[in-house]
This record gives sequence, C-alpha cells and structure tokens, in this order.
Amino acid sequence: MNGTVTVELHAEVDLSVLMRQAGAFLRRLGLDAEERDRLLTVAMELARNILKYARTGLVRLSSERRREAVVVRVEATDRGPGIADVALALTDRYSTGGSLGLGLPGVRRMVDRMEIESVPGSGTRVLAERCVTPRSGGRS
Amino acid sequence: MVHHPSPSLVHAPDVSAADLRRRLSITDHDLLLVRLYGSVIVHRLDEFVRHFYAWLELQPEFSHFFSDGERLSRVQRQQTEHWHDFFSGTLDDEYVARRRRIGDTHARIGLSLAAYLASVDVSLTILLDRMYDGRLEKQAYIDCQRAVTKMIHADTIVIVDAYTRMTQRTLTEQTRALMEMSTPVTQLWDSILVLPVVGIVDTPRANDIMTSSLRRIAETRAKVFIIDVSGVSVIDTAVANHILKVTHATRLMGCQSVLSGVSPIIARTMVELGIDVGSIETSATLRDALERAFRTIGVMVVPVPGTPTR
Repeated sequence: MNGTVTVELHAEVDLSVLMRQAGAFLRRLGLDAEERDRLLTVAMELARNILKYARTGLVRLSSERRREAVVVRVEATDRGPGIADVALALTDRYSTGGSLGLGLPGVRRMVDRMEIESVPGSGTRVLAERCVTPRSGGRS
Repeated sequence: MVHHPSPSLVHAPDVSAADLRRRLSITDHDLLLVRLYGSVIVHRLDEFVRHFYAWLELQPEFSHFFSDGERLSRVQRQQTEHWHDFFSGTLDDEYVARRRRIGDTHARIGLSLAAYLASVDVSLTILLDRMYDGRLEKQAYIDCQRAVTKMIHADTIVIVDAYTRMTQRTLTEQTRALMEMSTPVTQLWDSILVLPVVGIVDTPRANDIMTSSLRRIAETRAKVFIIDVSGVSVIDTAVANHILKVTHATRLMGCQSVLSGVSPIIARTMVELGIDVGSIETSATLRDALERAFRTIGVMVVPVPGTPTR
C-alpha cells in the first residue's frame, strides 16, 4: 500500500505543492525519472485545467499493484462549469481558453486509459491511468 | 491537504474605529468612563513616566533603544501626549491612525511584540493601580477599570495589526525579490542573452519572464536569446505556451530565440503532448546553443596558440 496524495488547488502556488508531493509519491513507487516526469506532466495539465476553468478543485494520485506492474491513477475533480463537448475537448488544438488546446488530448496520449465525466454547470472528473513497471527501490 | 491564506485575508482593510467598538463592545458610556478616569490622573502623568521608566530600565531592550538621552526625553514627551490622547476618550479613525503610526514605529525599529505587550501590561498596572488615589466610588472605579482596559485592548489590536502588516510586507518583498532572482536574464556576450528557467512557471512568473526578457533585449540590442530549460523537469502545455509566446515576442524585436537544455525526457513529453515548437531553434545542451549563437552573430571561439589542449 503506497497510499495516496491529494492536493487541493486554489491558486497557482498550489502547483508547486502538487509537484513536490506528487514527485515524492512517484519516487516512493520506484518509478524512473521518465515515468515520473510523464505522470507529473499529466498531473500538472489536469491541475492547470482546474485552476483555469474551475478555479478550485483537487488532484489525487493513487496506485494499485497488478502483478509485476503498478497502475498509477491521476484523478482530477472540480465543481466548475464542466465541459460542454468532451469529444471536442479531446481534439488537438481545440481550446475555449485561448491556450494551445493540447492539454487533454496530450494527456490522453500519455496514459493508457482516460475517462472524462462532465456535467455542464456542475463539474468535471478526469481519470487518467498509466500502467508502469517500477525499476527498483519501490517501497510497497 | 494544503490551505493557503486567501488574498482577501492578506489584504484585509485597516482596522477601523467602528470595528474596534464592535469587537470589544466599547460604548459611548465606556468612553465617558475613560474620560472620567482621565480626570483623576492626567494632571499627574509625570508620575506615570517615572514609574514606567523605572520598570523599563530593567528591561533587556532598554540600553539598546534608549541609550541616547535626547531620544529618551523625546519618547517620554510623546508618551505623555499619547496618554492625554487616550484619556480624552475619543475613539475615531484619526485616533486609530495615530495608534497605527506608533505601532509602525515600534515594528520598524525592531522592538519585539513581546516587549511591547509587556509594556502595555505594566502601563495598565501603573495607571489603574499605583496612580489611583482612591477618590472614586468603589463601583465607579471598577467600571472605569473595565472601560480603560477595553480601550487598552483596542490599542493593542491596532498595534498587533501594524506589526502583522509589517511582517506581511517583508514577506511580500522577499517573494518579489526571489521572483526577480528567478528570472535572471544575463548577457553572455555582445548580443547574446541567456535565461535559465528553473522550477515552476506560473502566470506571474511567465509575465515576469516576458517583461524582463523584452526589456533586456531592448537594453542590450541582443540578437540571440537562449532560453535554457535544463532546470525544468516538467514542460506541460502551459509552460510551452508561455515559452512560445516569449520567442514570438523576441522575434518581433529582431532577436532570435534558441531553446536549450531539452532533455530526452522533455523532448519525448513534448512530442506526446503534441507541442509544435515551429521554427524555434532547439538544442540539447546550453553548449550547443551557445555555439550556434556565436555563429549567428559571427563570432569564432578559437584556442589560444601554445595553450596545452586536452
């Protein structure tokens, strides 16, 4: 059992907190630098979306052992305006916020499984899962 | 879970006279009692000063703050004025502003809050106890004590608030200083600037990078601007977007940007995210970027003849 990490997001300073806590969590799982940075990028993308569109919310990282592998789960929830068209939001270069429009589609490319539940007007939950094989040093 | 003070808490408005009255339930009657008690003692405030400084001399801070005799007599004069003001029983915003100035002064000279609060306690004892000549009815004296104590507490709230603000200001200045230090746009050569990006790039930081980069380019008429990201572990789409904007802006100023320090991990993440750096030059190391920059400005770095080479 590696526990979970939950970081509440209210302001951009919380991104640093997320980076530190999520980084330590992924190190505890024994992931190599490449996997850690990939999953940190996923967490950061989802966290920035929360701050940008919903203003507040939370990002939770958890893990589950599956034989030799570990499934790392990054979950982002908010009570923001929701995503009107999820399919469109997953299209490259589509953004309602004036940014690159690569965040969500990028995250989808970086993980093995992604689920988006969104109810316009009441919030969004994004679940991203990636199956990784720890190299060494993982404490479980 | 992590909580941060909300901005509204940090930038709370100054304490007003109305706040103090409400918080401490200070009524007009209380102010009348303060005035009444004042009539007992204000003509003998020299006594207060004598008692107070007899105590103060024993305090560790005394020699540090009051070694200068002229300063001491000035402070004593101000203190007498302060108690006249206090016992006039007027609690309005001007009174609060005068108290705040006292708090600011104490905080600025570095007198500790502990020392200040101890002096408040001593003042209360001197005023209510030692200087009292027994001329009031017992109940009136008790009521006066209560009213004077409330007013003292009002003063204390204002002073503590002033101290807190001073600390907050220092903290804000330090953060700003740190922020400026974190975007050191440095001139490496004639017309070559370098910016090492480290840590997290958030919106204020990105704005800061944009502003200082463009200012330095204008100042130095730089032709090449190297943005080194080897100190950044994660380049998400927001960071990439910020960097792309900076490079577009520098190009408008006739300065070409080179993104250096793109590690294999960052390169791979950027590809997976689908970030297109367009026509920006990129390089794996700062060394490569520098070499290219030298070529661009037409400078050649050659070994000095006769120097042993590796």
